[in-house]
Amino acid sequence: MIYLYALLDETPAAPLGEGLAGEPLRLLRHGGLLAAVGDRPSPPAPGVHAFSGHDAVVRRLAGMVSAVLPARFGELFPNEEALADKLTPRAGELAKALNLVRGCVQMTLRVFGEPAPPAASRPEPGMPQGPGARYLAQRQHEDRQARSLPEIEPLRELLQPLVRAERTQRHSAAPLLGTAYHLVLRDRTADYLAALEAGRSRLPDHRVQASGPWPPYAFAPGDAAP
Amino acid sequence: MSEPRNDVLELLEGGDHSLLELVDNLLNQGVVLTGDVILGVAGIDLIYLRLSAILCAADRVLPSPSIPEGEKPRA
Repeated sequence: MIYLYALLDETPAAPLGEGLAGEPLRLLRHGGLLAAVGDRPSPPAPGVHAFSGHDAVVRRLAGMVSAVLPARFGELFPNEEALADKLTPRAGELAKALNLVRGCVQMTLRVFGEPAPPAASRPEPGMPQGPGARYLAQRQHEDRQARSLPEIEPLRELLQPLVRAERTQRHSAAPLLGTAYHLVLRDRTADYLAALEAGRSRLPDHRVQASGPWPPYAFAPGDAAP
Repeated sequence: MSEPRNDVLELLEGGDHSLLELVDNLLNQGVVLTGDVILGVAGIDLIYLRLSAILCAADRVLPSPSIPEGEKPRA
């Protein structure tokens, strides 16, 4: 079986090394994409060791190329054809994502505290105001709210120059309000953390916990990615 | 035998919060091509809920932030 670790934008000059189970890694090219894979007889058993191993392989690969899209843990295919069948139709979307993450790592911010008051839904100018349109507008508003993280707005001005892209996720398990994933140039993570420290006083009512740098897991398109 | 609170503090201050981040990254993010979840939907949900719960616990037991600046989570 073929186990997918990551998609790469170029062939690494150095040897790929080994995978989770010590299997030699190899590259498969499909739809203009390079997939770093290992051959194994069965799915990896989930656990701390396997998670760390998967991450270590992705990190090693990320250090060899300018752009990497990590695969979610457990992406296993019966053979190369099955991988190609899944990869090729999404080649355009994945190539675009590789361009986005080129030269970048992911920094993660967890935001704790009391939620900011929700913004009121406002009708868009020129939008039909029938019951159906109002219903859809409300749904859209709720969807935006579910992904927004207004609590870190005061930080954004400081972080903005260092952030190529942001993804946010709101949580329902207070006091964890949400998570912001930021794409930051590899050599600017110290500046990012310094900017974050400088901005802490702007968030007197919230606590922000940073981690990273990570390979850009949150910027790899998944089935459920917004 | 250590107390539960000490265990939590040890987990959170010992840098293992990055393990929680690791689980979040590997199970909730990343390229998904298969559409199948190897752990089963219930397994993913459970692990994710635990992640949230522990992160929330971190906020309750650690009033001040302890973020090692520039720390690389796991090599």
